[in-house]
Amino acid sequence: MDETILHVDMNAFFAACHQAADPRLRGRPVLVSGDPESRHGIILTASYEARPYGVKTAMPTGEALRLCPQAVVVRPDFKLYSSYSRRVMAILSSYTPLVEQFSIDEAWLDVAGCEKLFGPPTAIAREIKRRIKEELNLTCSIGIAPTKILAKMASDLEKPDGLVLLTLADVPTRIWPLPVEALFGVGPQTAAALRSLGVRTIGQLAHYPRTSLKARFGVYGEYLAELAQGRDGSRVNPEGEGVKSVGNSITLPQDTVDPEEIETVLLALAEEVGARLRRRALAGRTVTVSIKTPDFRLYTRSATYPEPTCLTEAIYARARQIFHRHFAGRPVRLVGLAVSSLLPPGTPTQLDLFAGQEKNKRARLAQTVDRLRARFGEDVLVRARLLKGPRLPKK
Amino acid sequence: MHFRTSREPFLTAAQAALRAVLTKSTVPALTGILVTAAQGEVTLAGTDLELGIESRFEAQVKEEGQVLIPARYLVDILRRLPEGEITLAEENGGEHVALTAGSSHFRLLTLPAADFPPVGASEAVELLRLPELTLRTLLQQVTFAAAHDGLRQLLTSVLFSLRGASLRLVATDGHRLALAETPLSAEGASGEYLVPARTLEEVARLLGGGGEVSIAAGPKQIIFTTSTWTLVSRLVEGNYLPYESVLPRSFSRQAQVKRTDFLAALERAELFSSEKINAVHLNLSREGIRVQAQSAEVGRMEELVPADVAGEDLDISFNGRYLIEPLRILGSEDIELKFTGPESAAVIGPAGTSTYLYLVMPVTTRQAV
Repeated sequence: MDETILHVDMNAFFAACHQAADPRLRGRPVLVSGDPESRHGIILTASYEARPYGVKTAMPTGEALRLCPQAVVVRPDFKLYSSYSRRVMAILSSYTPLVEQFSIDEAWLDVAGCEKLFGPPTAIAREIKRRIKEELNLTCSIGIAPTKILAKMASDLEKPDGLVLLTLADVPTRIWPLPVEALFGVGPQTAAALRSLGVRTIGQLAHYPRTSLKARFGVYGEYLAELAQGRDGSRVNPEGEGVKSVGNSITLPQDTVDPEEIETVLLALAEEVGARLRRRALAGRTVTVSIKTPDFRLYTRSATYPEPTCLTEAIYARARQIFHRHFAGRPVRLVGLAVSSLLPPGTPTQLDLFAGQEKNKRARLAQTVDRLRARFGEDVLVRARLLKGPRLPKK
Repeated sequence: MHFRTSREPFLTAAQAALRAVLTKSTVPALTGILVTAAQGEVTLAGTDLELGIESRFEAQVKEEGQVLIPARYLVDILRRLPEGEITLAEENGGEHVALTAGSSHFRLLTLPAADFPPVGASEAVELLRLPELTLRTLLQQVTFAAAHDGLRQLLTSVLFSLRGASLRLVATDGHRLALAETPLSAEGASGEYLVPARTLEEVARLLGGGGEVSIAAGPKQIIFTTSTWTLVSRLVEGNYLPYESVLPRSFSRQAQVKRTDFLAALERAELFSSEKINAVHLNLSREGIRVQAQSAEVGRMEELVPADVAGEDLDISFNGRYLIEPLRILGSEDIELKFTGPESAAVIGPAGTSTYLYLVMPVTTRQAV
């Protein structure tokens, strides 16, 4: 198999965008904080200058500043990030139409057949890195491999500003020693389950009996075993295929069957999920509600609607409908809510003749509330219904 | 039953009735056409219970009677026969019918006529009469704006609003709305009726004669009748949307444009809009209307359509389909466009008339909050 798939991963992207846009920030430690006014707001990204001090993503801002007092704390600017993201994707698209954007700062390219025009994949990767640095003042790590998953793992091997070529023959030496969590598709829960089987590294997973994996994880187990061997059949798909969603969940202080209490939790979740969607200018058509029962079983139900939304009220109304249709009367210890089938920012939206006025009013209200909260803190405005009830973990 | 007629009127009537017949049904009678011969006239009827169509033609009736014939076979046989005389006669006490045309003989098994539901309402009251062509024009101007899928059933229907001396038709899918009105020669009834758009597509297909059409209503049905056919449809229950509240009263910008120029530009723009909403951008200025469209996969286009523009410059986007559809059916060559702002409804209509109105909401691109 030829190594023609590139995975481009922007380094410390959010922080790097601020440094690219504002030369005064270059070379200085920059922290992008979810809530700079509050010491409890968490760090979304720390620039590489801040990392030697021990600053990590998801650390409270206060703690990060204790480790690195000279750091500049900035507020996230998603418009800035999406504008840089678009420019990065434009550079990538100038080499091949086969560009699949995976997130705001990651993409795959398949450069098979581009050799005559631009040279071998490593030359293309070097050229991409040079242009991104010269034209945008940003750095990236690029992994080159015969499959998407290997390319993604290769881009993780050298950071920042890396370039790693990985062939199938390299898998035993470079991939197998890594912990299973490093394998794409293995989350904390799967990793814990694998550890309980004595599987700690990707190599151990690759050699674990297939049938046992299938018995324990079903088809997904077989898929993971394939990935651990360095095989994966997915192609670079310009349409994108990552199931992207925005969601959150709350574990209740105690198990409950009280619909009113559960609705209040759904409203709190809808409020938080809605605000995150709006901050990124996204809207989604699918609403998913999940519950965990006292015996730790997770149930998930979703519904897709013709109109995308990012408004708290609409998400809540849909979530309530789903909850009552599927889960009414069940004892619940955890409630989750997610919005997916997301439309990216800038997607044309058809306005409605009749719902329009009401919906526009709601949208303006949401915008005002979001701005007030961004300026004065999350608690400046609280829905009366949420005054008592569980508080959400900040995201 | 026994009658003789020529192929042409028989085929036309059978094809009309077939429009209401289901291709498959658990009730076999609903896959048939009911043939009734009486008093020098043959009536063919088909129904799917929501919609019933009866069409009539003159024939030499030798023996009155009624049979139910599989619709598909009857139509296909008639279609494949040459022009000429046809006789249809009951045999074996109605178990078969024999169809003879020239040297061709067919013998068809019949369906049990007793299972065929009655088409038509028992207690219908005539609401109004108007020329067939007038109704056809109204339907063509309005029906296309109704919703096609049944998420909101009200929106898949067309409002017949009877207002004494005039008839107004309104259809909307929630994104755009078409309204057409015609004066009536005689003061008629008042009332509002919701008719499925699918029914009206069939009505429009049948209309075309030079005569009059009578519209009558029963408690749950509406009935359209001309000299040669009757169409009965279920009425949709419920109250229509408060459409009058969304009709804009004043506008800040207007443009006069030639229909064919604008339509052709929009059709070219449509090539460049591959996304789900095929957004077309309009820029109004002194120069005219600049039509722009782009698609990530194909490329972009831009074109200036000459127009008389009054008011401030405006940038506004629409689903191109929603502009093309009304422009295709408008008879007038001088078109007037009226706007209030980039996020408000725009109006398209023939210049200088108040009997037709087409309202369309724009498309916006959401910005980060």
